[in-house]
Amino acid sequence: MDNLRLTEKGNTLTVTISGEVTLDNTLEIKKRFDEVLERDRYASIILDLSGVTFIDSSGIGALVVFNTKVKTQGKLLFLFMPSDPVRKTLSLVQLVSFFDILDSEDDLLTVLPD
Amino acid sequence: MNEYLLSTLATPCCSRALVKAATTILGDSLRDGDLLHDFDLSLTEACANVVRHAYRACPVGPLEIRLGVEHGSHVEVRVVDQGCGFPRLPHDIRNAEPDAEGGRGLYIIKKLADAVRISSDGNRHTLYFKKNIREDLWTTCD
Repeated sequence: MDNLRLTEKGNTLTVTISGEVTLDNTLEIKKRFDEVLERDRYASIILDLSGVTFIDSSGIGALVVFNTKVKTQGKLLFLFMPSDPVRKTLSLVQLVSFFDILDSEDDLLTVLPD
Repeated sequence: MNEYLLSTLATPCCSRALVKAATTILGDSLRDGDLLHDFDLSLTEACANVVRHAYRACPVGPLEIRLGVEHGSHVEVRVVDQGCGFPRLPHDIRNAEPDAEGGRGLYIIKKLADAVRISSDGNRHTLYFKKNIREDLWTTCD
């Protein structure tokens, strides 16, 4: 799929998702998430959601499961600058505080200084 | 009331296209972007329920969206399928546990609507919701 991009820097992996995240592509996104989980060399994962234009509950479910699996591996996962539609859906289902959210580049530098 | 009927096959791809078409129709009457996003989300959740559950035990069939637009007052939505019906009508639509993967669709619809009803008539199963809309959020032409 072309709306998910991986970028490596040191022991941090950035997963950038853009466009819509709905039932239409959630299965594919979950598959890509599972591939990411098989890689051992990352200590932190940044999930860049700044370019997501729409997300439904199936997309939120995929984020929830990914977050749990990453944390179970003892790694860090941050949602980076979630777009307004992502924030809206997260807020509706009361999951804003469930995730570690970074609202700016400065926030990112605070948790991952290098 | 202006009424619109859109229909397609209950597949993920067709379902999303149908919702976008319905949201475009509502965009002619509603000027508020946040409100249109709410309808987009509610409709997507309602149609996703049909796609995921309605035809699980039978061949994939139709998915309908019926819109009723009462200009200056409210919008009524009916999402209709001809599948197996709802296994159990929930008395209380609750949010899922934070770490659950699913179970949030109906809750989102309920949060965004002023009324939600689920009903069956023969083999037609309907999820209905209604949203009252402030007068200043409507377009002026009708």
